Amino acid sequence: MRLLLVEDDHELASWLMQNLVQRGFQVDWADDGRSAEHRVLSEDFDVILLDLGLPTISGAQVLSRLKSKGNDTPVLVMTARDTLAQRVALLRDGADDFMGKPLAIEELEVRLQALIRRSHGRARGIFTCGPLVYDQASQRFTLGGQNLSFSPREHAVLRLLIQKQGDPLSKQQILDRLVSMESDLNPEAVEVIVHRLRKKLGEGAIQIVTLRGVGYLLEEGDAA
Amino acid sequence: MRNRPPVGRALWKTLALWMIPTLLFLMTAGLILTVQSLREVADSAYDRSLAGAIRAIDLRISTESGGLGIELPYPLFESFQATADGEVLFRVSTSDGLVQIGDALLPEPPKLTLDEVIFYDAAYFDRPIRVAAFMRPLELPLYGADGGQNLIIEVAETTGSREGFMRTVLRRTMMRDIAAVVAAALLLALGLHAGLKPLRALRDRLDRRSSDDLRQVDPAGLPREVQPLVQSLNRLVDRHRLQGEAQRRFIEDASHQLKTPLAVLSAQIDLASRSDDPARMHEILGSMREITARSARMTSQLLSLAQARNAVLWGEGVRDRVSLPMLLDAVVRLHIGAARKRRIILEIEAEPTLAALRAPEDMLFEAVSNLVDNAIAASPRGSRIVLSAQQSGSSTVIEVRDFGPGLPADLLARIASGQRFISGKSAKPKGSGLGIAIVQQIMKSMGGSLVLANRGGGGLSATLTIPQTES
Repeated sequence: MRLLLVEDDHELASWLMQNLVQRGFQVDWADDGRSAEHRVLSEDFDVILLDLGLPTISGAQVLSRLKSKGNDTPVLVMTARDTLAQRVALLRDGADDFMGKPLAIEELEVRLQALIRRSHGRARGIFTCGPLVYDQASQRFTLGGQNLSFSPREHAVLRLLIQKQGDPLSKQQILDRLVSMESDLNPEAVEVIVHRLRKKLGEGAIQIVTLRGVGYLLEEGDAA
Repeated sequence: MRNRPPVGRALWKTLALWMIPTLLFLMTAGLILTVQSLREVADSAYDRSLAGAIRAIDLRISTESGGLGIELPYPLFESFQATADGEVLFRVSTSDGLVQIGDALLPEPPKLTLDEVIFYDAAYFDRPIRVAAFMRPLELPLYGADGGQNLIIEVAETTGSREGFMRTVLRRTMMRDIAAVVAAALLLALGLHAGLKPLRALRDRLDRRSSDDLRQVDPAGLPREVQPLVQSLNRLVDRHRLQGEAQRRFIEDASHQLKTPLAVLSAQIDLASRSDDPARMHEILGSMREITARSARMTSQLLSLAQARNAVLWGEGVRDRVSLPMLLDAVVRLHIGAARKRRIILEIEAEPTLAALRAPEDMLFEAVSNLVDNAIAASPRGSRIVLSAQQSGSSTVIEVRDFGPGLPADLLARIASGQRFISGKSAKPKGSGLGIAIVQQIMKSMGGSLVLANRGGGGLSATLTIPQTES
């Protein structure tokens, strides 16, 4: 797993690198935004660990430049000055994840692994949520290796949910994305579809959580 | 770097640009008028002596002999020539041109009327001359003439002396005008210097101040035009003083807040360095990580608090049109990860038709976010948190309800009284109470309020009331 660490503080960078190397990452290090941008565009990394407070070009600028150039290497942003509003803005600007300094190395590792898995999965068209797996190529869902069969509507809704894992989907968002399929779909119909999906997914391992006024969230159940 | 805007034009230049052209214009116009009236005056004075000369010649003309005889008035001519400071010419002739006495080369006169002296300018050998001409009938025609003869007398002088006179008077007038302009410029400079003196004194007073001297500037003795400037300066100074105080308070809070975890950390390091048991060591390291994580969170909260205080001070923050359902949705999405780790459900109760609120969006986001953060910390696993927004009269009410244990009454009372309840002594994971202080500051900057209350059915209700300031 090739990781580019972009951090201008040499002491922190050195400790982080030791930690990450110990955990099996192959770490390259850039200490300013310009060289980071250059390396990302010319080499191939699995994930970028980006500090926001960089000299010459800021981390946010590096991020927006990479995204505007269509580079989709996943980026985990770390910063010492994190207000909540800034976090939201960064995620909106294309950061894939966010951590405030100081970092707990275990949490960092887990998040980096998740990002890499997700991006590789996206590239191969495979989405997983615990034991539930969706293969985009064959358009098939499996739960613990068992094939699941759904009606076209159920299939479409579950596909949306697994593609947007961790982010609740509102009924309206679901309707907006299904409107090409059906014209007579209404919010109640979405409820019915979700109800049937819950039944088919069974109790425990995978659940669709209802957040009233927000939307639906697909996640691993407590049993997993 | 931004280019500095150029310094404005100097005051004296502005004034001079207005005054000097005006003065020069007035001076020129005055001079032209002077030249005209002067020429009239000079002509009438000099012409009178020409007319006198004509009369003197006329009296000395005799035609009794049948011819034309003149006894020239030499003394008159002499004195005339002396005063006129030039050449005097004359000619006496008859209108039919038969007889001519005097200077035959004088130019022909224009058409004359009988018994009237007329004056005109002409040239004599390329020199400008002024001529007076007079015509009268002869009682007896001269010898050999048919009768009805008219006698013409012309006297001329070179105009050098009257030009000289004009030049002298003009030169004096111009000297006087130039002196007036110079005097005006001097007065202007002096007046400006005197007028700006209090301002220079003010500058010196401000320059001499020490950097932490943020007293108001005394407006006494300063010109009335400068008073508004001094007032705005004083307002600025006041704000800076308040900001300085806020900063000092922030540093006090921050050092207070961070000293405790540092002390704990140092104790843990001491303990770990004496321990030989790997398991014990691991345990200590785990709690050290917890302490650093909490300190980090506290630091960012302190920064938010400082920002909120600044917002109160400077009335900062663009008043965006905030859609509350969207704002609550964004807050929920930000916290959903943390909430779901403990299987907590976040819900929103807000009509999508709720009117937009004019408020600084990121501040409001920060406030609601802090309340949700606290609610998640206080909620038991698998519990529920409800965010709601509604219109109540002219205010907008945002509520965050949890189903946790609520807060003890004495703490609620202390929060309500606005007391600073940052104790710093608690190293408990419950948090420092900074979150609530941040929300209170943000509400203060919006003119709103935060009310915390235990709910009847258990749990805490945090209510933000924000007045609608539709402008």
